[in-house]
Amino acid sequence: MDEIPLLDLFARLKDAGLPLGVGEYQLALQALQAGFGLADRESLARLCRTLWIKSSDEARIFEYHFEQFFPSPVSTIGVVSELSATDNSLSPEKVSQDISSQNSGKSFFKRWLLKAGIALMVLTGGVAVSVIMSRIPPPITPSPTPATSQSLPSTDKSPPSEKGKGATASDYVFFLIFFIVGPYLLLLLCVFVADRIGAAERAKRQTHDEDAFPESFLTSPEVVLSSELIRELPDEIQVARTLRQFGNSHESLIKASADYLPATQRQMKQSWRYLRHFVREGLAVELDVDATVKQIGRQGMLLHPVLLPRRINQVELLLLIDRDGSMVPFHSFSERLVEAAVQGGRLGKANVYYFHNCPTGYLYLDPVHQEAVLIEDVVSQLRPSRTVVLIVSDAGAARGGFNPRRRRLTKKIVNQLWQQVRHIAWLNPVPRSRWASTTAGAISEFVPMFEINRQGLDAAIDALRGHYRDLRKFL
Amino acid sequence: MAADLGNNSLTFTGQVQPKVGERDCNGQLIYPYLASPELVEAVNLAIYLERPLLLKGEPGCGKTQLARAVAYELGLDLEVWYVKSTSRARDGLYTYDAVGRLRDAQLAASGYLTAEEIKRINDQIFYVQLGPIGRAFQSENRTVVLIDEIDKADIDFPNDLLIELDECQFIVEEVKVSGREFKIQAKAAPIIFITSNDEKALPDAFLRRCLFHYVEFSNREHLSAILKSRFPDSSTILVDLAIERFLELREEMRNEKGESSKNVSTSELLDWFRVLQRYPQDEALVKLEGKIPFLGVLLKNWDDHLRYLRQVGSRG
Repeated sequence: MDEIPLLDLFARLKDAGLPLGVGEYQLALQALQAGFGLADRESLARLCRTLWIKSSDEARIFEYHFEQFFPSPVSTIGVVSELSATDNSLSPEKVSQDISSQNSGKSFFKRWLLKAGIALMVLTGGVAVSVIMSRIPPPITPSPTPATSQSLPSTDKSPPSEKGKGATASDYVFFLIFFIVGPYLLLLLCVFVADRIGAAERAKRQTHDEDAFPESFLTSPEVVLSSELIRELPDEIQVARTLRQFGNSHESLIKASADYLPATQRQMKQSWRYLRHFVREGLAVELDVDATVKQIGRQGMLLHPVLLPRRINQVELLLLIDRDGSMVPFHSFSERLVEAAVQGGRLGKANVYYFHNCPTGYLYLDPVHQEAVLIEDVVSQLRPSRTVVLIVSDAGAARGGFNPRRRRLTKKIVNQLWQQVRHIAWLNPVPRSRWASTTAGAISEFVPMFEINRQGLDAAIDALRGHYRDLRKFL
Repeated sequence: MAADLGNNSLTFTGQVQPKVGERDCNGQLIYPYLASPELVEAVNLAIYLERPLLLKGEPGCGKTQLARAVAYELGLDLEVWYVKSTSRARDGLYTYDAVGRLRDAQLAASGYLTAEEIKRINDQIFYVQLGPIGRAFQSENRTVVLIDEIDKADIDFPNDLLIELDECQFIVEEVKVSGREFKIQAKAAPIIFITSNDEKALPDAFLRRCLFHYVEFSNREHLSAILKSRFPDSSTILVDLAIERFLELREEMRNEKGESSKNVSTSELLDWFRVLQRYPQDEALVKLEGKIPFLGVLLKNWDDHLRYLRQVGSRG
C-alpha cells in the first residue's frame, strides 16, 4: 500500500460492487499527484468520493470501507457515525474490552495477593535474619577484656547448651516461615491453576465468538456489513453474497435469507429496456428527408417539407404483484423490479397493482392492501393494443400441493386479461423444478411462466414482446 | 493547491463575487455564489482532470448557478444547454438545416438568388448550426458548458453523448469538406457541469466518466452568508430572524413529510427574503414574529399550506 496508494481500498470498493475500472483508479492517482486530497484524511475521503462515488447508496458503502481503512480518531458526523454506531456492537475491540472488564476484578485480587506475598516474604526474611543474628554474635565478637579470659573455660560447656538452644530457635523460625509462607504458596498455586483453567475456557469462548462474527470481519478482507445497512445497499453485493453463500440451492436460500435478490437492479433495468414497441406518435416534428425529396420529385419544387412524428415507446406495462404470505421473502425483489420498471425503463406507462395469492375481485394500489380497485375497472381501462401484463407470484409453488380452486380463479382472471392485453407473462420466484404437481405447474400450462433469474427475466420480457414459443408444443 | 496545478491550469476559488446588478456575457443578471470548500475542491478536480462534474442535490440548492459562478470567476464563456424531454444528444452538438438548403437550392434554380447567395449554397458548412457543446468545442478558449437537468431527457440520451464528451470531438455527418468528413475537434477541453434531479437513473457507462458531487443543503452560517452577500443592505437582525423562521419551517416540513419529499430550499429562501426586504426593517421584523408572512413564496403545495396553518392554529 505504500508503493501504490489506495489500491487496497479501491479493490475493496470494486469487490463491493461499485462500477469502477482502472480508469477511475488512474484518475485518483493523477489527482493525488496534482496535490489533491493530500491535506488530511477528510480531504482524501472527499477526493475518493468525488471520483468514485456516483450516488448516495454508493456513498454509504464507501464511508464504511473508508472507515475500515483509515479509522477516524473521533467518528465524524453523518453516515460514518451512524455506521460506526451500528458496527460498534460487532467490533473486535469491543469484544476484548468486554472480556477485560470481566477480568478486571480478578486481576485486582491477583495484584493484591502478589503485594501481600512480597510483604510476607520481607517480614519472614526479616524475622529469620534477626533470629540468626541474635544467635551468632557471642562467639564471633572478639573481646580484649578479662571477662573473655574468664569465659574461655566456660566455652567448653556452653556449646552443647547453646547448640540445643540454637536448634530450638532455628526450628521455631523454620516453623514460623513454613506456616506463614506455606499456606501462601498453596494459595498462589491454587490461584494460578484456577487462572489457567479460566484462560482456557475464555479462549474457547472467544473462538466461539469469532465464529459468530465471521472471521472475515475480524481480519476484514471481505467485510460483513450490518444487516440494517444491507437492506439499503444496492443489490450487487447482495446478489454476490447470496450466490456465494448458498450456491444455487434456492431452498436453503429462501429459508435463510429474508432478502432474496436473484438479479441486480442494473440487470433489471437492462432487461426492461428491451420491452419496447416503437410507434410514431404525437406531433410531427422530425424531418422525413426521403419523403421530402420524393415529394419534390413529384411536384417539381419544394412546397413544404414532409414531417414525421417521433418514435415513442408505446408499451404500457401492468405489473401485478403478489404480496405477503409465501411471497414475503421476495418483497424486496418485487420492490426493486417495480422501481427498475418505473424509473429506469423507457415504458410508455407502468402501472403497479398488488394482490394476495390470487387476484379476486379487487386489486390494491399499495403494497399494504389499503386502497382497493375493482379488477373490472382496471381491466376495462387497459388499451388492448399496447398493454402487456407481468404477474409476479409463486402461484402456490412455495407451499406446494395442488389447489384446484386457486387454479380455477387464476385461469378466470388470466382469461379476462387476455381479452384486453397483448401479452401476459408470469414470473415465479420459486425454481422451476418445484412447480411440478403444484398449482404453479397447472397454471404454467396456460400462462408463460418463468423462474426469477437473469435468464428468466429476459425470457419473460421476450414473452411480453410476443416472442414466446412454448417448447412443449414441439416435443 | 494552486501552485501544484501549474501555471496554465485554471483554479476556481469561489472567492471572486460579482457586484450587484452585474451581467454575464449572455446578458443575464449574475449574483454572488458562495460555494462550500468541498464544492470548490470538486470543481477544481473536474477542471484538472478534464472530466464532467455531475451535480446532484435538492432542487433549488444552486446546482445550476454554480456553472455561472465558475464562468464568471475564471472569465470564461458559458454555454448552457437546457435539456428538455424531447432533447436528443445530437441537438447539443449541431443541427443541420436541410430544409433551408433545399429552399435555397430551389430559389437558385428559379433564379431568385444573387451570385453571392449561390456561392453560399455551395458552402455546406453554412447550414450546420452548432449546439452548445459544438460551440464550446469550436471556441478558441476554454469554455464552461452547463448541461442542465440531464435526467429530463430519454434514458439513452447520456449514452449518446459518451464518445463526444470523452474524445472532445464529433463528426458532422451531413457535410463533407473536400471529400473528407467534417470533424469538429475541441481546441481546449471545456469545463462541463451536468445537473440531475434524479428523476431517471443515469446509465452506468455515463456515470463512470463523470465526477460526482452532491450539493448539500447549507447550514445556518452559510445561509446567512448567502443572504448577506445577495442583499448587502439588509441588517443582521433581520437576516438572522428570517433564517431562524425558515429553518423552523424546513424542520417541520421534514418531520411531517419525511426526508425524501420536496422541502423549502435556498432559492425559495432568497425569493422570500427579497419580498421581506421591501418592507422597512421594523415592519418586516414584526411580520416575522407571527405567522410566517408571504407563505405562498415558500410553500408551493396547498396541502403544505393547510398543514402549516393547522399547526400554527393548534399552537396559538
